[in-house]
Amino acid sequence: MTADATALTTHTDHATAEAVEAHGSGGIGTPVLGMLLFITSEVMFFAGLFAAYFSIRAGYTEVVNGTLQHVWPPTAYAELLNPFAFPFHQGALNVILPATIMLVLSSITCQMGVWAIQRDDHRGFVRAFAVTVVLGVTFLLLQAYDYSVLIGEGLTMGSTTFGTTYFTLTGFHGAHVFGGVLMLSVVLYRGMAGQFSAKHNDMVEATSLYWHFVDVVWILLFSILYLL
Amino acid sequence: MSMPSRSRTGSGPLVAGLITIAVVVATIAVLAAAGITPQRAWDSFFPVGNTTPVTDRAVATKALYDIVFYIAVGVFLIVEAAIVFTVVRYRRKPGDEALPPQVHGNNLVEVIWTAIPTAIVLLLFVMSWQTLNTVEAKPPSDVHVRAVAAQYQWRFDYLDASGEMLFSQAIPTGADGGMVLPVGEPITVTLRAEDVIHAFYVPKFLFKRDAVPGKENVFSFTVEEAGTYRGQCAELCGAFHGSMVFEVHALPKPDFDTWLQAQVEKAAATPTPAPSTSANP
Amino acid sequence: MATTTLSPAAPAYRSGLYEWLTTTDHKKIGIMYLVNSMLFFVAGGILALVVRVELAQPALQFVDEAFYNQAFTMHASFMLFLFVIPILAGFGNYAVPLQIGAPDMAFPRINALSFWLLPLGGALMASGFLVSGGAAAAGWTEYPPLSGAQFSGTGTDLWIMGLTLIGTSSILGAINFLVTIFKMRAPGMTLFRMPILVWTVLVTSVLVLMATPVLTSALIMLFIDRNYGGHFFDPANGGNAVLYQNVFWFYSHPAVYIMILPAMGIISEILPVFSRKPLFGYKAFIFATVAIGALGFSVWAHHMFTTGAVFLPFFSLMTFLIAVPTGVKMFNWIATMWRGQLTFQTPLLYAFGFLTMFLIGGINGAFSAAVPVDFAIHDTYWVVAHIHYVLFGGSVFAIFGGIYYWFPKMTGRMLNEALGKLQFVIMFIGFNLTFFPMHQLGLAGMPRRIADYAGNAGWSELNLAATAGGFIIALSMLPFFWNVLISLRNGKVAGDDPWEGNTLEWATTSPPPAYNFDHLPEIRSERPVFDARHGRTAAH
Repeated sequence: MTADATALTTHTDHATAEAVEAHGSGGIGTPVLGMLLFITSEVMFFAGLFAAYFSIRAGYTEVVNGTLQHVWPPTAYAELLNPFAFPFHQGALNVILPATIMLVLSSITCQMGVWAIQRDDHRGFVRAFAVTVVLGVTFLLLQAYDYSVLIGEGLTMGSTTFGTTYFTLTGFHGAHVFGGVLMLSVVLYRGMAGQFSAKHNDMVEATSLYWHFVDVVWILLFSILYLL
Repeated sequence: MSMPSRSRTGSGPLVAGLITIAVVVATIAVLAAAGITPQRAWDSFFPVGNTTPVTDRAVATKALYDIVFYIAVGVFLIVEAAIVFTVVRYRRKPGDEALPPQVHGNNLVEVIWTAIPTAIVLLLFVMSWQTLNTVEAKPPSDVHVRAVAAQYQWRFDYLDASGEMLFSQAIPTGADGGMVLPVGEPITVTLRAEDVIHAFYVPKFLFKRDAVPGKENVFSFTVEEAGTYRGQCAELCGAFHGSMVFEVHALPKPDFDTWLQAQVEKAAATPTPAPSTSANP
Repeated sequence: MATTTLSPAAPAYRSGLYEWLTTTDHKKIGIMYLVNSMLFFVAGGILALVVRVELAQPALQFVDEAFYNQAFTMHASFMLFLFVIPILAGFGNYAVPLQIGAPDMAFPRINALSFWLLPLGGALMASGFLVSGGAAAAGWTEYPPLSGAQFSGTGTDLWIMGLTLIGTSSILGAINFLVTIFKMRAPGMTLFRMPILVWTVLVTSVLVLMATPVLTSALIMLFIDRNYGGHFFDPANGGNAVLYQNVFWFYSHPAVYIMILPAMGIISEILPVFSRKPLFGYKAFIFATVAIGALGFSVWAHHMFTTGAVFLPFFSLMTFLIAVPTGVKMFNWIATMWRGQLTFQTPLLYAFGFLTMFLIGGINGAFSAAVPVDFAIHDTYWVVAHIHYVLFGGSVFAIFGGIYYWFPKMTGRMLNEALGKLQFVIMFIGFNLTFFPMHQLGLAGMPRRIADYAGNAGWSELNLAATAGGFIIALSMLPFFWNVLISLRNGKVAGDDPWEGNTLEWATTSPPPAYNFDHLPEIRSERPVFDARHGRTAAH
């Protein structure tokens, strides 16, 4: 019986001075891993929406000149989404390309903020993240303006599956941007309060990963909805 | 700390054995009292009471079912026997204090019991694919029926070779209704749904196919035995899904021709308003 | 006798209400998962009895068709989303940190959120019964157009919203499990020394992470069609009804592996302990689990063979192939018991029930993989037999095995053995009486989801038998609840390790202190407590 007693109390003595290092505690930080997994789940969410979009697009037929043909976008909305018609398109400001550029820029400023805090440059980090937040909010405002233009032109959620898929995809992306702006703001606030440093910046890195994800999704969306 | 000693001896296996025997005896007694002969019990393990399939496709499906069934029963008996044997044979006995040999695994048996099931399932796959090709074949046919599903009634439109409607059978069951078909002729059925998803299912055909709004499903078969066969919607379509029944009346070809001729004449004679046109072109 | 040197913690279940409402302790959260899930198990069971009572005889005697459809829809929704998936997450929540030697999950507050989303989501779904038009009634699958605004009422919207919350709970839980397992294992516990339950929770969490968001997208698209004039599934405006089925089943097929893999993990914990042998083929088992998880993403359209919109040979092949790793597991379990020394406490009885019943469920599923046979049996009672043999005969038996196995650790008390065995026997008999005749009913042509059937169809006797079985299952729950009640108060004191277990949860008190461990034994294999008990300190 004594063998049992000693066996159960032995062999953790190397865990004396410091806290016991869990197996796997080196390497990627816990918040960052958690964020990467969360982003994976969000990718799958958009994958479901994109799958629906492609399936609908591939099967969309319309009667054109008396015959049933595959067209996309539907003829009624063919001219509505042209990102390169500058600066006006069908009587309104065409903001989708500027919005895209701003979002891409915001990813760059976000990453600059991460690099800044990793070398303990607090002011650089705060500046970069503040600019990122502003760019993110601008994107949302431009997107809202764009929606108002499209709706004015007659494209709504119910305007065939083209409208449904367009507003669903961009709408959920916008919601994710909004969430990202909130996260960036919280991190910015905490950064201004001095809570981050070169040693402790997991939440900054995690937030930046999310923001990059949001940007990549937009680039995909923009290419698929507007260019292809 | 060791296991409670009670579990290592005595009454457990006896009780288990008695319960098992009691259940088996009770089951047989109830079945016998209900008039279920061994033959009927055996037949219940096959589609539609092991009756002869009535279409050419159903014959192929039933043959496939039989193969799957016998393999399944074989696998079940072998594995179940292994479980029961193990559980009975390797009970801990009084005096079993030392541990049994601590075997961690054996790569060879892992390979064997991966390879053999893989071979079995691949064989089953090939056979089922071949049967599928038989079932899905669409030979040229002179009899075209469009089965239209709507909450909660079936309608059968008889079409000519160019797809024009000859007449519409609006009553799904009974002597004056149903889907009347000739025996021995290939039949093409087009399925259409007008509101929600339904499914065309005739158990004796060993076949069903969904009727999906916005999509026309087409399938073929030849009925080989005259008779009346029950059919029913097999995709939940609303509150009265269970009431959406129909009948197939398979008649010898001359009788079918007579019936069809009479229906066409009746449809031409009476100035019936066009049946509710569906939106599909 | 190994006892901790610090004073034993107060038993977890005696803490006050405020403690339970605000806890972030994975053990308490795990217990709350179990309790909430059992409540929905009872609710789902009552709905099942409504279905069975109505079907016992031809003609509608008790409910109308509309309510009947709500009954089977909500029965399945409760059982799948509010019982099986969460209770397995609950076992994972309780056991995984203990089994890897961690003090808690990686994100304790998110863990609490994951739990509380469940009663909220469940209440939303259930509130459908109170609104005009009733609860969701288009089957737990809710295919449009039937689930669309034209044919279904507010109950469906509540179902969608509730399920979205439940899905969120799942996804957050999966993230938590994965980070915990990757980052918080005790020193010495490499990945290939983790208990099998931890491995199955790992693979399940990957499935949850990748598949559940796709369900969310399907639900959102349905909601948009229903409420915002969308046309995703509306063929008259460019949409496609079958699109929903594809997106839905892309989640719902992996979902069934989410419902079975942790259950298989539980069985794989019980069998070695009660055979006094290690799990046979530990690594093979892990590979089989990963293979099932991966293959599980490739078979979804086998639920849609009759739509006419599926590339049949591919999905048929993948469906046949998934039988192979499942079979490997079955053989490994048998080999674990082979030449062992089995003791038949209740956990092992349930494991035996699992093995024998899940075997039947796996085999009758293979019939549907043969596409022409599926054309005959799809949407009939054969499928109902299949799903219940794998979900009840499989998951539920494993769940009860897990309850009897870990109740002593959670509460410090043993459950009464005689009552446990009584429950098992009644449940086993009732289960088979209910569901075996459904094979015959399906072959005889009885479709699913019908409120009534013709008296001359020849289905009456088997339906009556199935209903009798349903009541016997219900009866078996009485000794169970009684057992829990009396054991909480007067059960035999369990001690740290009543079963001579293998894994780390048995190296601490029952119940464990808040921080889980005072000392950890050396970890050199997947059975650290076994090794310590038998004086082995090197890998063997």
